[in-house]
Amino acid sequence: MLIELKKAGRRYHMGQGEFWALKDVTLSIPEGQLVTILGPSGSGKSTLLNIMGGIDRADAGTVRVAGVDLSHASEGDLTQFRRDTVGFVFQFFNLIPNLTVRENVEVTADNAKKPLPIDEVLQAVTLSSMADRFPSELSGGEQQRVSLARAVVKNPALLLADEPTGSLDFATSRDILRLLVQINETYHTTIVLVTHNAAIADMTDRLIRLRSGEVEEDRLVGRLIKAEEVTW
Amino acid sequence: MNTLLKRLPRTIRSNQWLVYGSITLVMLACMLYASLNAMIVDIHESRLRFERESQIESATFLPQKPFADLSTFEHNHGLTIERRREVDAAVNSGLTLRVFERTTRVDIPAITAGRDVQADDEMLLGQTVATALKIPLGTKMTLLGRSFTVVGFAAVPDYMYPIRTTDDAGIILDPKAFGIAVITPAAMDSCAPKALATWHIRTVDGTTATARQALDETVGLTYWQDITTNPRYTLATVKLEGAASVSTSMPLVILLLTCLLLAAAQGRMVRMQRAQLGTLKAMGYSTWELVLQELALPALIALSGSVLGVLSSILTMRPLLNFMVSYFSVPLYVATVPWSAAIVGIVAPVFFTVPAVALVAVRLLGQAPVKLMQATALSTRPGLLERSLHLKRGSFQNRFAVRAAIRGLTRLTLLMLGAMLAGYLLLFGGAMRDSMSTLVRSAFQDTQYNYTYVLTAPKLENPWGGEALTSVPFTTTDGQLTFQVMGLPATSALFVPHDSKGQAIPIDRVIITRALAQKLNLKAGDSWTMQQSVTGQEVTLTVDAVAEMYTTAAVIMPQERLNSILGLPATSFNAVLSMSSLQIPAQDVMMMVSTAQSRAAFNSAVMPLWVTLGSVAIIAVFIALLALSIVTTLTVEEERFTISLLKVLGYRAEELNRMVLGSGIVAVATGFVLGIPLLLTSLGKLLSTTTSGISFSLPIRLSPLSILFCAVIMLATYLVSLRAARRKVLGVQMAVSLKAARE
Repeated sequence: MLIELKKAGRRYHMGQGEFWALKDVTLSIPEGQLVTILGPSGSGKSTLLNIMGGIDRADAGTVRVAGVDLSHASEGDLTQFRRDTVGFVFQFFNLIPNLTVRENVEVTADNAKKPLPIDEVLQAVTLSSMADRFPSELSGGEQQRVSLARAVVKNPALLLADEPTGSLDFATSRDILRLLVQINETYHTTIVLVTHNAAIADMTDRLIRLRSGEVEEDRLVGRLIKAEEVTW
Repeated sequence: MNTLLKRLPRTIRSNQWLVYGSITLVMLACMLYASLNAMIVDIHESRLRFERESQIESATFLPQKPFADLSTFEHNHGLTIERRREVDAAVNSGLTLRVFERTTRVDIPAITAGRDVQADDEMLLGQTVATALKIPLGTKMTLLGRSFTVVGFAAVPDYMYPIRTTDDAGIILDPKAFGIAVITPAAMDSCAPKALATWHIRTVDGTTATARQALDETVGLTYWQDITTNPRYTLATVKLEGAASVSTSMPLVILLLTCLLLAAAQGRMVRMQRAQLGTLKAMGYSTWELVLQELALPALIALSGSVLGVLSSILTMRPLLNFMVSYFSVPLYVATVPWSAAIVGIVAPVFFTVPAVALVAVRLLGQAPVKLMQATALSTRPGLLERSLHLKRGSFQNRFAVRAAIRGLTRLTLLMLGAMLAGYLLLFGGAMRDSMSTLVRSAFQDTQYNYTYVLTAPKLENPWGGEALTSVPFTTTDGQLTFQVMGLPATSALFVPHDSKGQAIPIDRVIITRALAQKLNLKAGDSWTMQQSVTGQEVTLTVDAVAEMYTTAAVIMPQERLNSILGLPATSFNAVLSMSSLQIPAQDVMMMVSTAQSRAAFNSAVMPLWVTLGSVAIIAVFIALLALSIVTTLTVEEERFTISLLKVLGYRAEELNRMVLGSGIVAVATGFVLGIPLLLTSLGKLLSTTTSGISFSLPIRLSPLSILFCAVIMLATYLVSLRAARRKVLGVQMAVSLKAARE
């Protein structure tokens, strides 16, 4: 298994009290699976993703990804894990505004062990002709494709996408989803996708539904539709 | 090249005002530090070498009888003694030169330009008078009825501070009216065979007590003055040491404040990039990799600013040195920026800024990437102070401004520091102006006479007119301070001392001047003991009143009482004050001082001060403008979201300016006001050090008018920086808030 969570929990302090954004989550994800995490706002989707990606820590239980115990890893080990194993795609792209498209991808390639050729990745996301542009010169969809290229270029074992289509129009969203499937198939990358849209789950292997921080539903879907067929 | 480093030139391009402003600020501070340090170190080293090579005297004396065998006496006591004749020569109505014969063993003239005298029609001219009057080498001058050619410029160690007289207003230097000249002994023989001859002694270790006793026993002494009490030497050394403390402490404070400002500004720039840093951390960059990246810009600013500052100090140092040697007659043997100042100048900004920014970055990056990415701006959570504040009164805009001020307390502290720095410099200029005005006023308010004649010997009859007085030099019992004790007639109309309330003090009591009161820490009712300079006679007096005179440390008492203390007849006198010129035979006059000359000397002394103050004020305004602009730029950057949102809500630029930046005025005013006690305290300590051991003191004054004037400059500077910030506020896109709101 690439990802194994046992009774994982995450607690937040709110004023005088505290609340568990995630509680007793136990699940495992094998290599190469394309998984959708679904749930309403505040259900703990992003928190679960962040914990899997080592950008946040669980307060309870254990989280093991690619053989690394993220619950007990040192800061250095977590950094190494993020560098070698995981790629992120964020809803608001989080590109570095004063680096060009190519440089935004290079930033990840620079510290990767075996990066993919940058030109090949840019070609894959159809951004070759915009390689020298700055993020402010791109549309939202183009920016998200840069974000995707940046995550993929290091050829990570795990790609985590937090609402990757959340700030895009339908057509562009379908484009991004198609790219995600393509990456999964081409590089055998495990992809965990967080979304509000239930229709997206139909194009993936598996659906995990969260409610109030707990797993409400976990079932295999079997890629019922293609990315182009996803509706909103 | 590391990809992340490619951000650096682009960050610089997109924050040009902030980056170049910071570099200029560091450059100015480093330039000021390095050039003033260079000036002080170079002058100090030049002076030490001058004293060594010119065999500076340990004391000057006048023997009662000739030496029977001078060389044997010198050999037996390990002394070097040389006689030197001197005479004053009026070159024209405005310039008097004190002409010395060239010595070869003690107080040897140092040639600062040209060559030494070789023929009897050649002369050396003092470098201060040559500079002040722009007299070139080769000029022909008529001295004592004979023509001389200026073949060189010179400095004489016992006239390092070339002043005409060593008492009263004569202590003020006027290089355009008084200077020195050196001619050959043969030329002196022919021009002024009866010139006054003084004897100059140099001891091996610089101490004079044994030598003085031996001389007193062998030839008897009618006059003795240690070099350490000779104002022509001590005024130079004390003023140079005073200048050293100003020139090292003030620029160091400015440099440190600049570093603090830079560190704070750069620290805040790092914090503004928290989302980017969070993303990079999520992508696998380690904290240290990112910290190093974030240090590139502050290190570049600090290093480029400091290197430019130190390099430019090579250019600014020379005029400063020239300015110094135009007042202090010291040959300039060294004119380089010392390594220590260059290294401190270059290293200090990096040393203070980089670790401070690193600390901010390390603390920031200690947070989990997800937390860093949560907000693009600084913390949006109201702090404890803001939460505890329950604002209900006043308009929304005012309440908003108060909240903005509280939320940006650190930023306002930064603004306050900038204002304090600039205010300190501006007020420094104002205080020096006020202090000097008080000094000048006090010098002339009590003196109604135009001429002072010092006689060669005490007289009993005064056939010439004017007011006769007795004036004798005394020292403190430890010999550290020499001052005049003046016996005046009770009916004196020409010298009327005034107290601090401006009331005339009758001369029927013992009055001391404020300068002496400050130096000896005396007040009315206190008693103290002093010693007559020549005879060593000890006298104990009680202070009856203090006169507001700062230019001279002196005692004023009834003439009869002083004569009685000195054992002289009641009507004896040795000086005459007069409103008009008197016809006193030349052989009876040792020296004549015109008050008009003293006034001219004061004005001449004040002129360069105005130039200095003007320069300081310009630098202060520039520093203030930079500091204020850096902080307002930061404020606009940090409040982009709020500004954008308020724009969407329909607020106009003027309203936005007032709401977001309006609270800055409080910080600027607080910084300015805090600068006042800081200045008065530091100036008090500085001036007491500067004038210790010399016969006058500087009053510390800062008038409300000066404060108002400086405040207006400060306010105008702030308004200019606000005007610049207004353009930045207008430049904020409304889309910023719409985009950020989705996060």
